Amino acid sequence: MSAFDADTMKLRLWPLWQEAVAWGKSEGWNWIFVFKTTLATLLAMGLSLRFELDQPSTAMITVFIVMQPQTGLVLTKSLYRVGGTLAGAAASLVLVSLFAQQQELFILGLALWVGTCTAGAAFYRNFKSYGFVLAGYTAAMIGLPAALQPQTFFTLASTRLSEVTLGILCAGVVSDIIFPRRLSDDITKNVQSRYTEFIAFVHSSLAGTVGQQELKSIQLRLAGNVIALEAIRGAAALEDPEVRARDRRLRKLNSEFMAASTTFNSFRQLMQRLTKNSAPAGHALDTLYESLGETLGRMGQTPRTADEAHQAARRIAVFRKELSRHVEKVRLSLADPPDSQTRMDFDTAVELLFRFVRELHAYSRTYASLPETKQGPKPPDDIRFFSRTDPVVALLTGVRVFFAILLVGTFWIASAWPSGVNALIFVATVSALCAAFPDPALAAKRMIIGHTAGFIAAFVFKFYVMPSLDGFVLLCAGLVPVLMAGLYLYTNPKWADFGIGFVIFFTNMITPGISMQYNPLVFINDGGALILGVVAAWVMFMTLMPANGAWLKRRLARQLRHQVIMACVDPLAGLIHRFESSTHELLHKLASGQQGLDSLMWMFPVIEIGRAIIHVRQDAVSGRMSQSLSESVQDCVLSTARFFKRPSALNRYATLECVAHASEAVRLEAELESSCGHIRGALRQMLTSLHLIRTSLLDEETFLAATVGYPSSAPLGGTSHAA
Amino acid sequence: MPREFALLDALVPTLFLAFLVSVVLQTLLDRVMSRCGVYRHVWHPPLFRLSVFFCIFGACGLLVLR
Repeated sequence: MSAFDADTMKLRLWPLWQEAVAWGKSEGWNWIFVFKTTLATLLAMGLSLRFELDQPSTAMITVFIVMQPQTGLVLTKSLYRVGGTLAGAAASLVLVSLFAQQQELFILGLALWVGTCTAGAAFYRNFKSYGFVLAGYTAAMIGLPAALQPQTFFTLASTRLSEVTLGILCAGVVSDIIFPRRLSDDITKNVQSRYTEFIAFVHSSLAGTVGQQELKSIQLRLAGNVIALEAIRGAAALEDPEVRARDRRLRKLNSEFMAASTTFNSFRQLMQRLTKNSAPAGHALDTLYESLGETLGRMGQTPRTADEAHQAARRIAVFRKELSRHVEKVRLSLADPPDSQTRMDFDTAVELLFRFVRELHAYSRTYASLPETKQGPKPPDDIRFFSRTDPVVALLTGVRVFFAILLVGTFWIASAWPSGVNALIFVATVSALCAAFPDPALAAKRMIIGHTAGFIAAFVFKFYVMPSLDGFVLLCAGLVPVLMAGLYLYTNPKWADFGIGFVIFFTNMITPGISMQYNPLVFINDGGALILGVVAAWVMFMTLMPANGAWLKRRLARQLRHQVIMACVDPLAGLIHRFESSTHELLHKLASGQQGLDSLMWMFPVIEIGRAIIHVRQDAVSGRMSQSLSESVQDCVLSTARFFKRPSALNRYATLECVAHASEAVRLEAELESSCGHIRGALRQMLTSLHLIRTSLLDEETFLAATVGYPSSAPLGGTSHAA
Repeated sequence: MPREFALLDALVPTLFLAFLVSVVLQTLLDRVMSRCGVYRHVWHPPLFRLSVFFCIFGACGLLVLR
């Protein structure tokens, strides 16, 4: 009987247990993060009180800002926070010593400094950008109160520094000791999920089950994935020496992945065009297309372990050998004698297919070698992620902050507002913090709501709860529920800005200290000024150069097109990787900002043509080419650059002409040159790259026709497309 | 040893210097221990690292302030 009971109990408890495990997987880490952050905050508060620092709230706020789910991120962010704070303190020292008597000049200097730092923050990425933000607003935080009483500057600056350092130490120790979550795990997950997703994407797009729109979104997601890996790769090195050993391979993986995905895109676009125009080559290629899909499909379960990945790599290698035989067979089956157009289409597609399989093989092999701990062979050229930021946009971001501070500062002086300092501090802080976000106005708006909620909560807590809390333990007990509620919201991406605004404002307003001051009038005045400061920053974000404005959209679209110009004119060494990484970053920026989705029209043409142009240029210098050939190739490259600089019907026509001319020159050269196989190969590759550019330019359905308004009756001469 | 010393006329606690010295010592020791593979036999390496740091800092602090 009892055994029966135990069984039913087990049966009943089993779903409950499963539920608990599922919860632990999804919510567990969030709650651990909440507990850890609360603990670190209370630790920071306790130690600050013990060391008799005058503003424990600074240490607590530092904990909120620095704390991240992963230990490596905390350590990196801490490092930059210390650096930024030191730089900000130094700047405020200079400002106070120069303009302590002159408020107007002081505000001007401060606005200049914060503006410069914000421009720097917008120019750099990730943690570097964060360091700039901090250097900016720390100067405001220390400099402004000190400017009112210059005598106390040194004490103020040194205690602020100690508070920040204490907060950082608490956050670092707690996040490293209690349930540490390693960045290396996240890297593994990122790399794995990307491999799986990419293979699945290739497979499904070969099967023809995804639409153009979906392709775009997958491409953008993969770009985001590349950027995310790049961001955590840098931070992980601080946390784990093992990651440093794998670092080079990770960089190689990223670059190989981008190469493979670009080639696949070109291949797919070309195939789509051929099928759409029902070109004869298209039918012949279909069989090749299917055989690749079959090979990938045979891989079945996407490889998870290193062994499986090795097997997959081997299978791809086998397929490569099969492919060349297959290609010969299909080539024979083409209608004989194939006209030059069909032959070109076929050759181009086959070339791309070979390249893709080669790159996929390299990518799989690197993926398989990742778990090995020993340092792999050094790649021939060191692959560094290259990012390109628009300096004008960065500068304007700085200018915006400059004006925001100047405006509020002027109002402060003109109205002799007693709490104006607080407003000014928050204008500087919020506009510096939010400027690096993709949509600063939205972030500022959410922060305002969070701040207001924090203000109300702080009021209730300070005047109704705190007076009855006696001693440190009770204070902690009172703080825990409020802090945990805010921090839990912070873990939810939708509510993150609200949550962090709430806890920061709450802590800032209750200012636990050695001698508490309970003055509702001062409390409301200061709090109101702070919120007004944030509102002023928000208004600036909304009015001056808004993130969803038409100007910025055009600018980003132009920047995307500029990638091709870079492919045309930059020095060739390491150009492919530079082109790929900066294009991916740009795509990520476009996708994350919700802005300029129409400028994404340029996405596929830019990727395709840019890559092809680089290949043409590389092949042109690889062998000894005749004078006339290199001249016509040069013409073609320059004319492409011109077209992407100013897209117009005329430029497009000129580019097409140049491409046709160059193809003709290459063909002539190939007939003359019959001896050297190396040069012949280079010439063949050039021809296919040129053909790819041509078909891409001729594609009416992409944006080009729409933007350029190309008249269909224009003379294209004998070079007209097969369809 | 004095409890504070003057660095460019600003008083700095000697304990801070001890802290910096122990950070350097700990970093060196950490390198050596990870090279020798000590951390493979440790249950919780970060906790172990922190404890070692506390030992070093405690020893330095006692040496300085006694």
